[in-house]
Amino acid sequence: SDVDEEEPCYNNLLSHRISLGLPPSGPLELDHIKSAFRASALRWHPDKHQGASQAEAEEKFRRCMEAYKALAGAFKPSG
Amino acid sequence: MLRERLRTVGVRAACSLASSGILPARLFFTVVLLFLKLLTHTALRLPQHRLRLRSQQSPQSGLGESRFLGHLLRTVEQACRMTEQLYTVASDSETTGEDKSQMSFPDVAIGIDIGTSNCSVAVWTGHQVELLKNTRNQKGMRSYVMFKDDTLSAGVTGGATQEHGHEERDILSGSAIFNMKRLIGRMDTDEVVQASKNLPFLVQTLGIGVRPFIAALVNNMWRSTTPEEVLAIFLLELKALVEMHLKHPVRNAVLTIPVAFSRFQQTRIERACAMAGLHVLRLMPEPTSIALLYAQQQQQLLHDNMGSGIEKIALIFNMGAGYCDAAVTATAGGVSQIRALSGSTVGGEDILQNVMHHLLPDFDSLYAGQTMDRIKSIGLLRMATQDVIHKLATQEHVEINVDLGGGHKVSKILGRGEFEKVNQAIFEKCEGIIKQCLADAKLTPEDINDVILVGGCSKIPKIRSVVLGLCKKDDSYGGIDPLEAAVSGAALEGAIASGVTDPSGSLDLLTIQATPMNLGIRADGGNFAAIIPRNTAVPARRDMMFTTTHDNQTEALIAVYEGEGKQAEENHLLGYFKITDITAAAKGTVEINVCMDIDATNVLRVFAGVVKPQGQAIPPFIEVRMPTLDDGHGWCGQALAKMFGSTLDLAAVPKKLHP
Repeated sequence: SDVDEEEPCYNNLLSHRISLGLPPSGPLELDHIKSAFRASALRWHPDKHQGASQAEAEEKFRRCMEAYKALAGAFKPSG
Repeated sequence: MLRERLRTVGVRAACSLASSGILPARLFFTVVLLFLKLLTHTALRLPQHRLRLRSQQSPQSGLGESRFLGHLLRTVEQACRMTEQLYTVASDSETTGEDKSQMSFPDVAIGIDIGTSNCSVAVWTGHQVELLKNTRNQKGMRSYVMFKDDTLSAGVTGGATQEHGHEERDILSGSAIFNMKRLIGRMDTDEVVQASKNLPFLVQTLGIGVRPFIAALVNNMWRSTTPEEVLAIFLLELKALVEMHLKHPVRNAVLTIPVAFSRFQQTRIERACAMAGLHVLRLMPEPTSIALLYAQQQQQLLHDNMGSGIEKIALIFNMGAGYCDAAVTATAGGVSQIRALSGSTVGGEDILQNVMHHLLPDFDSLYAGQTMDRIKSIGLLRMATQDVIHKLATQEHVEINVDLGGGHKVSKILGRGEFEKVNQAIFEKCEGIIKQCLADAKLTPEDINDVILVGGCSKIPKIRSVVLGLCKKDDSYGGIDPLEAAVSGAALEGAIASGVTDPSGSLDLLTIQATPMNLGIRADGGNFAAIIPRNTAVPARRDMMFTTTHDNQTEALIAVYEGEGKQAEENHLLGYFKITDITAAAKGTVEINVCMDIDATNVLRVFAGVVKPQGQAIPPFIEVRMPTLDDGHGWCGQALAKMFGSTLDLAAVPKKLHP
């Protein structure tokens, strides 16, 4: 919930878009964000990585999670 | 002549298996060695545990442990003998056995659903999940261990008896221990333990915050045991069953656990697995393993051009004999994201106890002592009551006629309405669990697409109507077998977390877990400051700032708790550690950061250290893996408070004050 309350800053939003593999600019729809998040989750969730790459995957997954929360959070007021 | 030949073929086959390195004898030694290694390993890592065993359970400890080792070895031996027979049989039909062993993956974790009353095991066979059957052709095996005549047998093989009725009677004879999932990791002050005193074996409590005394009747003497030991013996037999089917040793397992399980209970399950030579790859809350299975089925529908591919919200309600859980999950694209989890220790066992007390109002006063007669009578009443509850799922009225001995008889006709009235409180608890889950997920019943009902109690009409009513649905999701779903999901997770991929994409699945309970530390006096709130997605990492409460305070105690209570004391104390060498300063000026991290395997780490004032003398952050305590958390928290008062206390720093 703390992440949601942070002021959205352009640089952050850009890096969030990159984390989820979304286009760097242009309008976004909630469904796009969700499916991009799911695809990234399937790729980076630590369950999908064994051995040495797991720690790195976990970091990436955390970033995807954060990006998803921030980008999807922006849609909440409109429903 | 023919028989002679067959025997030599058998011996030769066994020899060839020996040279290929999978002969049971060798397996036997591996298991024994592994077990011994694990035992010493555990002893080294858990000195507290050993000490406590010695001091508190002196009449049973030393002897009990060596006896336990003996029993385990004997069980392994028995299991191996069983395996040996099957190897010979399999090798008679030559090639099939070998083909299969090449096809299955040795390192893939198996899925185990240890239920309070029933247990099942499943494996990923390369293209699908398969539930394994025991020698009696059962997929669901009764969860119990029989301590008869010093030879142990678990419900996996069903002991010596082949007939169901006999098995039930044996289980209730006083020589068998069951319901271990309810008892594991609980103190004798726990109300679940108190309620277990009606079970037909010995459960004695002193109410002082130690492990309850649990024992089985062997040759008219009480043989003490622990839920972990019982579980380990059961798992050992289960492991032998799996190895017999797969024809290779298994090591890794994914087990399902109730949402309401504390981290203590999880540690105990891990320890029981270690004793049985199994490494726990994941402990999955039961509804989340069902969510994974649901995700797979939705993908399959999409694949068959029958699904829409849009996100579906499902409410999963799982109620077995010992626990009840609910989850709300959002599923699409093979990914099931757990939005909320809730659970409680209410289950079929409570329903059974209620009905038993209803049928025999003098139950408690009649069967207060621990005598043979009492156990026999309780056993008879349990059997009759179980039967009644099962029949009431399909019948409106059931007649009971049972002679309990000693001049006590129960003759009654129980109607479904009466049954529902007797268990009103339980159905209300179920409602509460679902309401909380929906509220936590910030969803209304209208948002739910599918209601998935699983577990033995999902067959009770009232449970179905309560859940469906709350979700405003006419019927539940039909694609899932209520008794096989949890274990199937666990086997899927086993394959995924073992790194198995399927070219056809059938394993492109994922459950994004959420934390079932708040995790935090004691702060601001006796309050509980939640650092990772419940239903946070896992892996999770959160931190919080704290400050000193006294001038020149140089030490602080970080007491880590888990639970829902606002006061720290209401929650489970998982462990504690001290931060030392804090720079002497006025109270409220030092900043201490406490960070909690849960990784994908659900390991909880707590990092803490001083961040302000900064200087050269600042000691590095301390990192501690939780839980550090073994048990006795109730009085441990009280002892800490008595010893240190508020001298080592911390206060939470409101978020806005730090950058």
